Amino acid sequence: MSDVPLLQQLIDALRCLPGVGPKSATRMAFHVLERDREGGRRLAQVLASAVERIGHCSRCRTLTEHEVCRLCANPQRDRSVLCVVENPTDVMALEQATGFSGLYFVLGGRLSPLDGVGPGELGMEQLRQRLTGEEVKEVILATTTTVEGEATAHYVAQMAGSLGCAVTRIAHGVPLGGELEYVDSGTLAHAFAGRHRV
Amino acid sequence: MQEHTLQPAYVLHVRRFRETSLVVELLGASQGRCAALAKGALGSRRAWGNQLQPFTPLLLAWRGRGELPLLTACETAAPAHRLNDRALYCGLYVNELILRLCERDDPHSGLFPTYVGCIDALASVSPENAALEPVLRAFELDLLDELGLGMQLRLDQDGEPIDPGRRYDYLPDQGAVLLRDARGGFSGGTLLGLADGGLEGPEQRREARTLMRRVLDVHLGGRALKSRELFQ
Ligand SMILES: [Zn+2]
Repeated sequence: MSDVPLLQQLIDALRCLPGVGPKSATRMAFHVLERDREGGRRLAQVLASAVERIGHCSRCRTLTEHEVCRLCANPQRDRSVLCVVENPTDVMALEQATGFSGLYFVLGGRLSPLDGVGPGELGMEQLRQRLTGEEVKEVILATTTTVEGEATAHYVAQMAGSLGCAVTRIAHGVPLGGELEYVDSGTLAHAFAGRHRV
Repeated sequence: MQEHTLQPAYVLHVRRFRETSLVVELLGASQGRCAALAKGALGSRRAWGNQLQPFTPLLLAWRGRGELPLLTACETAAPAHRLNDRALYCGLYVNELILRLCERDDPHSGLFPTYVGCIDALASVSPENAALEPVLRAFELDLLDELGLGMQLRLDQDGEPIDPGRRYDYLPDQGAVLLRDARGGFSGGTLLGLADGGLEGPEQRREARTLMRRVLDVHLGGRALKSRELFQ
């Protein structure tokens, strides 16, 4: 490792970021060294402590630097509604887009047996305990609409139903402002099947 | 692989590759199990990501040779089969079986129609074990036949016809062995029901499931199927 020049080490390290190939990594490295050493220093510090200190919430498994995340700790949130999502980014997206006032549970992926991801890899046991032990009345499924997301939704729905929770699923269909002609047939079929009375 | 015109195919599995591309494991009507690279499928240029989903009848074209030819066209041939509830688990199980047991680029010409029939059936029967299990058993038998690992379920090891009233052990490498004892093993009725696609009642279904699992496990080389965990 020490034989590789530091500059090359930096470029290689930057490539762990999504979407960063050798060219962008080189550009970033030169930018930091030539124009913004202060920014680079700050990035290094924050990155080091983030990687060190941010873990998963012991209740909902989203990312947090505390034992229990800000949402789970908030007494104003409605504890009877639990929204099940795949990733911490989904929590962020729903928080920004909706007025949802319940709590979340982050699976950390979706059931994908062909990728080696089964119920055990997704914290389903923790979810079961959560649904058994607490005052959750309704479970909202907000998984993706891929085949794996569907399988995950079904698995959670079965579990929640057997534990006496009401189960709902977020609607999916034609995007707002979307012209039917350009919507793919799978989405259109889904939207058509999920039509509701107006 | 030569350049192909649009061909019927199903996606068995999709895996992210780099930022916007997908490696797609396929079952093609004439190619059998194969794989292709869908470059930029998740990008804005080609929105194939939504279409390249399992259980959707597709028409695909690809170009190039070697490990990973390039997908060049993708159309939906018919609406996706709606696999509901447990039927979806069954579909994932079937896909995993193919990926685990079939080698890439072995044509297995009979496999595609068998697969289509299986997915059709999973989508149309009611998603309960009593209806789904016979569909899976039939597929498992056909798959083994296709791989040259077919089971002899009408004759025992000595060439005698299976007696529905007696019990047999089944050894994956030797076939059915008549048991002196009236306990243990599998009933002849289960073996014949499996062969005829006419399993009757929960007991025969349970025996058939145990038998097929035992035989498949031998061919899977001891590595368990992950999709089985969904059924627990
Ligand atoms: Zn939390």
